[in-house]
Amino acid sequence: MTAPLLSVRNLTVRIGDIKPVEDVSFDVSAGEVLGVVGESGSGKSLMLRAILRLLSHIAQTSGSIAWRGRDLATLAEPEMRALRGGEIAIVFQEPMSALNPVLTIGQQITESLAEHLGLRGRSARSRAAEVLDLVGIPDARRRLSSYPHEFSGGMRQRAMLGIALAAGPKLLLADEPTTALDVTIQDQILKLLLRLRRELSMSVVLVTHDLGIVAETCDRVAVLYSGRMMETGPVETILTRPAHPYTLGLINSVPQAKDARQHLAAIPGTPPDPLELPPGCRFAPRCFLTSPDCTRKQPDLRALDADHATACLYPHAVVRGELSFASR
Amino acid sequence: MTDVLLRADDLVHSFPTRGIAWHGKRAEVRALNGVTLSIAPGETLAVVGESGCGKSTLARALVRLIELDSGQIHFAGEDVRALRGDALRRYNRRVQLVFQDPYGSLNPRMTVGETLEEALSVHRVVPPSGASARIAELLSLVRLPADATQRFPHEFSGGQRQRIAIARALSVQPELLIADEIVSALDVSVQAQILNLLLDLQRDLRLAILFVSHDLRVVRHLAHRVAVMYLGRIVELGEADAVFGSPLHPYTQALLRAAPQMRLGRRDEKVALAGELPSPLAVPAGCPFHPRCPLALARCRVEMPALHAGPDCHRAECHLAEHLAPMAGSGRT
Repeated sequence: MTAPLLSVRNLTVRIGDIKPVEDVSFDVSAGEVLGVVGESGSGKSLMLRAILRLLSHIAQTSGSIAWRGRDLATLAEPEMRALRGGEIAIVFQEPMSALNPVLTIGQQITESLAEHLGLRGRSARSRAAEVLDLVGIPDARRRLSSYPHEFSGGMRQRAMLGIALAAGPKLLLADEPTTALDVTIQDQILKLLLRLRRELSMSVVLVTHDLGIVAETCDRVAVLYSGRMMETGPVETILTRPAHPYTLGLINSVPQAKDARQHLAAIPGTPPDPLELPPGCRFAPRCFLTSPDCTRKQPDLRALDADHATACLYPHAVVRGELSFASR
Repeated sequence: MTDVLLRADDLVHSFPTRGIAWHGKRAEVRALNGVTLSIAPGETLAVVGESGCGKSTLARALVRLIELDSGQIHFAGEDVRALRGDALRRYNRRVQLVFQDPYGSLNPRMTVGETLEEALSVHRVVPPSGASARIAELLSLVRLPADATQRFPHEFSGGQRQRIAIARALSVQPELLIADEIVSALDVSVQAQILNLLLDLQRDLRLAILFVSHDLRVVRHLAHRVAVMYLGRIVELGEADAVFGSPLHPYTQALLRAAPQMRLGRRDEKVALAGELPSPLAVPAGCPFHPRCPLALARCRVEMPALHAGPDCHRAECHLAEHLAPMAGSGRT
């Protein structure tokens, strides 16, 4: 078995008195797509930014982030700069706020090419056109001189992918890249992402709240809740035999055709206030399995088999499906 | 024919664009370009489509937040567009609109109790002495704690705020609830709670719901009938099982293929639909879908398709609908 490309251990982000990300560990292997699923406030976007040290100074990050033998948590800033957009790239949900509105798309791609590959002038321009062509922007050479506002939402997201991929990264961090897009455009962008991953043999960490997207695009999944990892494993295992009540609740919350107009087995309540976390397991107040042990201390992530781990004390009760959320 | 609560015929609405008027005429965006539909009492009709298809304009036009250019709306036999004064106010009580963003649609300076009380007093639904009992009843209907009356909207989560907005709409005992993307901003676990609530309310109050959404999974879950909109027109309309199970229009078929499903191993399939939505300023001639349609014929570029009516009032606007085999095996999740 080869060593993972990225190995995150005990990553914690602290902002003042709260820890929006706490003790999160995961690996990303070469060529795989890891889905990170969670609802708002689960810490999924912060976690992604913490990997590239993009958080403001009020956020304190601890833990180790091993990238091909180097620890990103302690890397000097100039080397970190070279890595960002070089070996590791990131794309965001809102292309309009991530793109620079006063630079042409071409300038934004060649900026990255100059910085990371030392390409300038005509060679940079022709490489930039290749990149736009790669992400499926028609008439690429001419569109290099377009500004972001001249692009539609889907085209902007393609352009942002182009900028991210210009220097040929080994890992792409994608933060809800299709959430703001219409469903037919989302489908185009996800298919594009999968094609690029294959052609460029890169790994992807895909942050999303949509389990349907996870089912269709990811190899492995990590489920976050209130800043902690609740469960992780191969996508098929997680979606067919979840071993954490929260994962089960999320799956049950997605309407299925066969249950049209029936009550969904929804998770009761709402996620906890980060300033008033419940004792023990953070999901315990909404869970159907809660025992006194659950509220004593936060259960650690425990391995069920080689690649499946859960932070629930009673994973087998979930898997056997003896109990579930009430359908109301 | 079953009884009809609201019927809309050939609704047309254009927005003028900002900017310079050329030759004395401003460019127009046809947000609604001949929309016809009806809703029966106690029924959920879902209107689904991508951004810019006109679905929110339709919701607003039906409650007369927007005045139409042409077309007719009838509600329980009355001509809605001719209503004035008290009659209009009575219509606005019977047809209530709930918006996507409960942050924007609730007054931040009014407690929940005051918000509900205002709705009750404007429409004089209950005498002032009965207001507090009615408010308590409404809060329990949407499953909010009774002490919510004393609190302000900012003290609630997004899902709870949407419950408040629903309670306000229900306070005046409407017969039709128009829900414009009301679960779109919510997390999936909270969304499931609101969907359950809507199902209960409809069963208990025999409420008709016009459910506007871009989310096919949610639409599939709630709707009795579905209308699919594209560029200001309803391109397909029918029973939910028929529209989802055997869609007639190529656009509906593409939407269903594009929607993420809880199904493994679909990653290598082809893109469901190439190209982007055309600008509503330059709606293509002929069938407006033809530039993106994988099946388009020469005829589609010039001639607007007539309505093809299939069995059980399942209809689609497509030249090919009568020849097109319904998308097989699309018994989707």
